[in-house]
Amino acid sequence: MSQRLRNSLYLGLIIGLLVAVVIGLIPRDTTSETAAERSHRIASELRCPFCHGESIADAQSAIAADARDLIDEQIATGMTDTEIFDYFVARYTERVLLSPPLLGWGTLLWALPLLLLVGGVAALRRRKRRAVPAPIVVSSDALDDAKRVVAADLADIEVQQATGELDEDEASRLRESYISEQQALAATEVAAPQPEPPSRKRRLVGTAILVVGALALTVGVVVTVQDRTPGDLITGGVADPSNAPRDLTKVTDEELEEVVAANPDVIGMRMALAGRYFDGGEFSDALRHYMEVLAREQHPEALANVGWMTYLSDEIDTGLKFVERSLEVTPDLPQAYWYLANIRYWGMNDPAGAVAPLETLLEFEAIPDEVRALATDLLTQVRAAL
Amino acid sequence: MTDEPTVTSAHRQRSVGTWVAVGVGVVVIVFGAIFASRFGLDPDLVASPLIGEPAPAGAMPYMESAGELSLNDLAGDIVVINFWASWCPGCRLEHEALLLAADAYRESAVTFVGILHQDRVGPGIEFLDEFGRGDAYRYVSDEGSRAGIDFGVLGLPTTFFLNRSGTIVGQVNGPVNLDILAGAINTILVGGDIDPLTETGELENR
Repeated sequence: MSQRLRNSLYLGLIIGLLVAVVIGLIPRDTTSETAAERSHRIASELRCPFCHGESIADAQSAIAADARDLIDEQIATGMTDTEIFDYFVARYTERVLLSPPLLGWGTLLWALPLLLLVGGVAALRRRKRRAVPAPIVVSSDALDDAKRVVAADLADIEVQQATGELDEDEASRLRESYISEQQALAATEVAAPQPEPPSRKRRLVGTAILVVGALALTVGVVVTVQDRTPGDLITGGVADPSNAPRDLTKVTDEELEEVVAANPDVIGMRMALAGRYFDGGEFSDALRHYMEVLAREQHPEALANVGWMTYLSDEIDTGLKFVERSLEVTPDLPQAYWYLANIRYWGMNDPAGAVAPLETLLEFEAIPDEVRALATDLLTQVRAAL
Repeated sequence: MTDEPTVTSAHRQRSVGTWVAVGVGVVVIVFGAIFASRFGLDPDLVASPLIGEPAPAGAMPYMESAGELSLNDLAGDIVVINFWASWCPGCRLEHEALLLAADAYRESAVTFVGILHQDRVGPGIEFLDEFGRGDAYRYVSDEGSRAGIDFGVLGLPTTFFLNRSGTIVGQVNGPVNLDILAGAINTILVGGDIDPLTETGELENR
């Protein structure tokens, strides 16, 4: 790789990291966060302890839904994010947090990829340096000494052969080896004085600065990125879901809550949400929304359902008034007749008063078969009690 | 030859490389061994951090009568708290043992509380009709799973033991049997320490 290409790669890497840091440092927008958005954000940062590998926000299990309701309640009572997280950690340990905390082992976890990167780059550079064959280097003094010694050894052979100390074969064998040694020495370059290698201390300091800097960078990015709001500038998402037309049956209660909160005066949407709660038996949530509707208009269905819930909580007279008021607004709501009949028969021990509403109910053609069956049964029972 | 030529660091570099390779190899093997040894263990199954803490005191409505029970009302008793549901197979397995133990320790001021968790009251009552109920056993329901979350319950069945001062001293994940119940209660009765966590089987969730 050419030096130029490598330099621009390094530059690109540094710019990329800087951009990441800057993105991380953009303050997140919490002022516009609704309670439902906040609840969803908290739930998505908590691992569902009863399911596997899902957040409380995503998990479908009944208990995860209960946990979401609990978070809603905690927000309503004014608990801070930290208090809510602490509540779950106190019961399920830190495993409940989807992003490991930046303390203890968590730090290592976050820093590990960066350390590996730094280590890898360092290892590559080291290897590259080693790939250049290192010349065999001797000091010039040592070279001169060695040459002198070989020359003297060669001279010695002649003497030893003359005195008969060495025979012909032995002498020529030694001579050959000394001569090749002499040639090698002659070919050896005298090293230019080696540049002083960077001191060990300086290298250590350099590495330390690099590691600390990398750690600080990781921690900084993680801290700023991990608590972003879904829907803000960086994480993207739908900022205002009310604008998008959607199939209401596929929207979760939480999403619908958000939409309703953003559009408090759209009655139809609120009625749909209240209806879900009512059908699911979550009366306190249903009541909350029906009361909001009734504060805006005398919606017959809201009146009837509020009346029924009121009756079920043993406020028989008040419940009856709501149902009757509903029938005053419109005589076309079958469920109001069903409620009226039940309240009169069971709540007020008035079978005679229950007959007329049941008969009216059975005149509706659009009612489902099971309702018709129930109404017919009740009518038989009521007539028998007369 | 008297003077040895100065050898460069080529040789030393190779040995550093070898050490690094060996080091990486060792780390990989150690991590691999730790990882492999933990296969089959559910990392979620940990003792509740609430062990050693006072039991949560939220009020729970009785399943079959009016009124509510707070665990504070049982102060002074040893309390066995059993989270159960009608759909939970492990709860069927342990039901008889719970009834027997509740009856056996009734005179020793040991109160059994069954908390119907992740279930509706109707099926819960049908379950009790079918498998029987303890005479002094308190059956309450867990609305909104609040008690389960307060206790850090991870699934069913789960049983907790409270000492006479209302501190959670032990937890059983999975069905209990008479040995476990009697062992724990006897130990608490004489003021000893019981295992903070016993695992007997799978926990279930709905």
